[in-house]
Amino acid sequence: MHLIPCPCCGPRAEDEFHYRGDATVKRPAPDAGEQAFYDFVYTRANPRGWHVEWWHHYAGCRQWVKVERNTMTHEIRTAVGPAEDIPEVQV
Amino acid sequence: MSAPERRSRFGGASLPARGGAAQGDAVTIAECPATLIQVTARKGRQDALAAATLKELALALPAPGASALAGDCSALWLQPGGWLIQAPANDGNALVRRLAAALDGIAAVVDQSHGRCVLRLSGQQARAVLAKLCRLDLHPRSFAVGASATTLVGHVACTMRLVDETPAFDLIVGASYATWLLEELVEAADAFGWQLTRAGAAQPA
Amino acid sequence: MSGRRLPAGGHIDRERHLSFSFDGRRFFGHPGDTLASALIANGVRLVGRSFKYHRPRGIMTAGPDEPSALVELREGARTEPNSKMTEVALYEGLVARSQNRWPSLGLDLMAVNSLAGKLIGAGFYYKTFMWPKAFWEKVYEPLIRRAAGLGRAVDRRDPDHYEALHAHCDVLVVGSGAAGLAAARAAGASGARVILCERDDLLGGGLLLDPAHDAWRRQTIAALEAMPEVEILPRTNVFGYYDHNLLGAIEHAGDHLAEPAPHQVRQRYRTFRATEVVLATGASERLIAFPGNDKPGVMMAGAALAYIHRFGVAPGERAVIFTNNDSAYATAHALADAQFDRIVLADSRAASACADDVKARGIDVRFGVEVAHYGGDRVTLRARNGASDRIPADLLCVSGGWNPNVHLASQSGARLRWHEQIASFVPGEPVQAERSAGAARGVFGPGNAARDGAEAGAAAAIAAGFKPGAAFALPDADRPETPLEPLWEVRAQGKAFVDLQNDVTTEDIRLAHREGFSHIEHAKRYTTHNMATDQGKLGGLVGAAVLAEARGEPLEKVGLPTFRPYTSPVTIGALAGRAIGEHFQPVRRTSLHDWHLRHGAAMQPSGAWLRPFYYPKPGEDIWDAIFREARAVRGSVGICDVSTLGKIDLQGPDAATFLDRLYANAFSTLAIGKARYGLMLREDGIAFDDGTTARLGPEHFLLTCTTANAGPVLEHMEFYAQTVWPDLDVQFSSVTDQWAQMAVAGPRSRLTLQKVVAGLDLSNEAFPFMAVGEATIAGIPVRVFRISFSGELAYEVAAPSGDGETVWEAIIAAGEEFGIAPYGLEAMGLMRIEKGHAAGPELNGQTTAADLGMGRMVKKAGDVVGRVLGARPALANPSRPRLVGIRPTDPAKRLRGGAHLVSEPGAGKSLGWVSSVTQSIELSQWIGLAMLEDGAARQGQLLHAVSPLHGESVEVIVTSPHHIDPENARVRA
Repeated sequence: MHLIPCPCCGPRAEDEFHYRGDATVKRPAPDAGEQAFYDFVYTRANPRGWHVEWWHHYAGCRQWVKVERNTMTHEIRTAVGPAEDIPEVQV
Repeated sequence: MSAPERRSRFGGASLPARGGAAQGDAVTIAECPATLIQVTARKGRQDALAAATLKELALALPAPGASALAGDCSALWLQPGGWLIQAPANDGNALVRRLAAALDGIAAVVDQSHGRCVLRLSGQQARAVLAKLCRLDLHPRSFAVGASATTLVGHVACTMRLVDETPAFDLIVGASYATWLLEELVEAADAFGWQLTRAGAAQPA
Repeated sequence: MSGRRLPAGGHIDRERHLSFSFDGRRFFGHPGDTLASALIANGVRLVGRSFKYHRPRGIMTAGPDEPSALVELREGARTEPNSKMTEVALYEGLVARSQNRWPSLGLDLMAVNSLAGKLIGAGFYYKTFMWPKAFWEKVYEPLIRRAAGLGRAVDRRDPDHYEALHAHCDVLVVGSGAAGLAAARAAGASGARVILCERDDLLGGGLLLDPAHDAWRRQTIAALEAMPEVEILPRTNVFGYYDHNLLGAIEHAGDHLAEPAPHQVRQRYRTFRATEVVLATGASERLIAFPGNDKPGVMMAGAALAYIHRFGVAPGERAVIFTNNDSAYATAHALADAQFDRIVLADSRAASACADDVKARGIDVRFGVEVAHYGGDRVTLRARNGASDRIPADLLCVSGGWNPNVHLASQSGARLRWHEQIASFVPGEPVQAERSAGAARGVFGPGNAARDGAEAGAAAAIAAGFKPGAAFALPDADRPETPLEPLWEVRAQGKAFVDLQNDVTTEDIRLAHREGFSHIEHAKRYTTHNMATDQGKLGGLVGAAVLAEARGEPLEKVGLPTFRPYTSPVTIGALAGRAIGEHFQPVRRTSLHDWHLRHGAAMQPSGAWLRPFYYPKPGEDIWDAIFREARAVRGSVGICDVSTLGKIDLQGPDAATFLDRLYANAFSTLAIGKARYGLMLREDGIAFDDGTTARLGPEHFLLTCTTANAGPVLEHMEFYAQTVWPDLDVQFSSVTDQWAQMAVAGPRSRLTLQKVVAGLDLSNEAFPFMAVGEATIAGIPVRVFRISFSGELAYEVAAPSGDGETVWEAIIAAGEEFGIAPYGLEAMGLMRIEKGHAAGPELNGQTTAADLGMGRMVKKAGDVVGRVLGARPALANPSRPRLVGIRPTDPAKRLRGGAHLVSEPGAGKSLGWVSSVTQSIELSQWIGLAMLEDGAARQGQLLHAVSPLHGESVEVIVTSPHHIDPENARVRA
């Protein structure tokens, strides 16, 4: 079971969170057109290695936490609040 | 909006007043009716909210993971910009109105007195009981008196606070889950023995 | 009969006697015995039959690496198959039976398999039982299971309790041998929170086998017990190492008792979240493959040592020790202590520095020899020059060297590294915050291991942020050893086993290689090598070495199969803990729950909630009750607990804007004191949830959502508020549990409420359809909503949940004169289908607003969730399945949910499906809702609802989904 460093609550067990997928996609502007929304909803890179993901802390502070996690090793490097960006790190 | 004589949430539950092993250091589970008010700051008004609650209730809104006490009121951090204010059960209606007026334009004020249920778990084995239900580290080095956290207890989200070094924990849970949580606590406490105090009966000190 | 109890020695309580039974025979042992040691003390040698060939097997080890001595333990519902005798602590009244034999252990008719062994090689089952496929389930599998199975599970409910317990520590030490004890003491001395786990009931590991080190062992344990932040957990087997330093273990809290005391658990599933971990898991002695290495009488050299020094039993009278390393010389000394008649030590090496001490005790030491066969209590020794000698022996001790127990380190992600000197794998660079110490990383001998452990414990404490504590005494340094010379297999005539439990031979491994299963992982699956309950502890590396030789490659290149949890078998019940039966998952109860129970409601799980299904009266069947409840509503008045609806309080200057974006339809235009139906879409344009939302003030709304989606809707709102529109000034929180909500429905609902509602004019003019207002009932402040799900004139009353029952009872008292009836989910479902309201079966994650007949509600512009993708041409295609009503043309016929709609019986193409069905009380026949291609254009058409599962085909007519009151007149009455 992962230990997720919630930026509000500190390290918490994974079962307090719902995994909510790719956090690198951004919802487009309302007039961005169908293709942009299509990419937002469906197009995923599915990387092997470092990835930025949403983990919703439903049984804690109820924040959509942005977590940088290695999909291969399960290592977690950073976690920030919903409106923050994870600084670019050279992998 | 609380009526003075609240019914116990466990009025019909078939649990006796005590049970489990008879070991002499049984844990106590008490239903503690309270006025619970959720306050959430409007955008950018956290400082104003903190100032207003300090003025109204003498409560300094706590940081994440902490709680604050002033007289018979306390405040627990819930989420960014959001706190839960706990006050005695009997003046709920008036307090909600008073806060709503004082925090107009500063914060959303929502009465949760009936929406959440406060269970106080106390006794020497309280930590051992919670270790069966919760994955948080509650060792005194990690979770001291006054510490608070929202986490899973018995698979449901609870806001927890360490009240004193008895130790006594307040578990604040969604009212519809209260019977479930009570049954989980009782099961987990079975090896130590337990006694149960319902709302309306004599309150623990 | 050759085992016997020694007159002295061992960690047993000789003063007390315990009686137990094995295969119906009564024996005696002592507290401190395992079932294995007690049986040896009683001279029992044959204890089981092997899995495939049903060969006779004896006790091979003294611990969790035991492959053969498996028994069925206890009786009745507590029966536990596949218990390792070597791990079963003896208790008064213990009952055990051998397994995997028929009809009896001594005479096993299935042993004929052994004669047919040439036919049942590796992959036999894969190759033989392949055709015809249909034979698998009915013929082959039962046959294989009966012939081969390893014990039988019990189908009765386990009367014992299990529980989970979650612990945290700075340093977790796994194993309490010299390294583990020293590590725990060093870490504990720093002030760190330490947990020390030991699978055995006594601490000490290998120290228990060496009386010379007992004083240090006791001293160290006493020091640990005096440290307040050190927790010692005996009988706790750590079975898995998971992500982020979480380890899992089973504490055998009550397995050493006949029955756990009342309120006590049998086993405890523990998790440890540790900042740092020290793995002091020791090493397991490995087998040498030679013909007959599985016969009763063959025992690992270290196990023989354990039986003598730990349990005070001698496992024989005349022994041969077969070794390639120095560790077996300690066994030779122990056998001499135990007064064996004859001891021959056969060392495959040319010399050992330990030889002189052993020879001095009269032991016959021979170098450069191998065991070429064992059977009939005779050992065939073969010298390098080919000369052979047959020696009578009822005990053959084997040591092929020691494999560090790297399972947990490997699970933690650390790669394994080949260690030439010990010819085995050791943990490589750590990936998580762990380190191995002592024999677990190839540092053997109590002195060396304790030093290594002390260093590891101190380093772990420092890594966890503590300062090193005071130094303490360690055992004397060990004497240097003569190096081991790897010896994996003695090639000679006969079956040589590498996996005793699954009956895998060296020949099977070579066959796997010849047939192309040469990768270690393929060879494992093809031969089942390593797949038994000992997880290859005994012969795993030996099998790999045989494979390496067949491949002509070094062993380190062949490697071992991946280690995965569990390191030892685990009772499923322990993992389930308390989460069984009623405690399986959380249950939500409304504040009216007790009232429902008192009034005889049949309760029904609905998601996490328990809700009244219907309220049967004496003599009523389910449909009687449903019809009576629905008729009360349609004819007069009924009341229903709808507290489970999701309720979200929304406030803030941007609340209306937020709702406009969240819902497909507009809310900023909603007047204060009014409610509006709203439909929420997902971003892909599919309908997500619906409900009514009321405007309580300029910046204050109350949303309701379906019971099922209350959680997802809140999360959805949080996503948009926190990540997409963080600039919007909105605050919201769930108030689902704050309010008890009750629907009061029926033509006399107004009359009923007017009797009890104070402070609100409920007349149609003052309080029209979709009005919202505040009032009091029985002195309790309530909110009243004029909304309807049943299709009748109806209200919903919300009261603070603690006062819900007071308000509910007041309404019922007021409605008594009108025959008010509480109604449950079923009557509610009946009425919503009559009315044609979409619910869960229609909002199924595949339907759009247009499909549900609500296309016109959707805003055509602006920032609205789901607007852009919902406008995709395929979703807007009018021939998509649309919501319609259906009725059998023959009113006597019934409809089935899930039936397909076809143009004529037998037509292969489905035009849609039946989503909801009920028996209408107004139309006196079955009716349904369906999703039908081109539904709008098909009104009045005749189709067929076919249910191949029931063998039914019913002619139906397509109607409007509104089976009753399509003009919506009643709700406005």
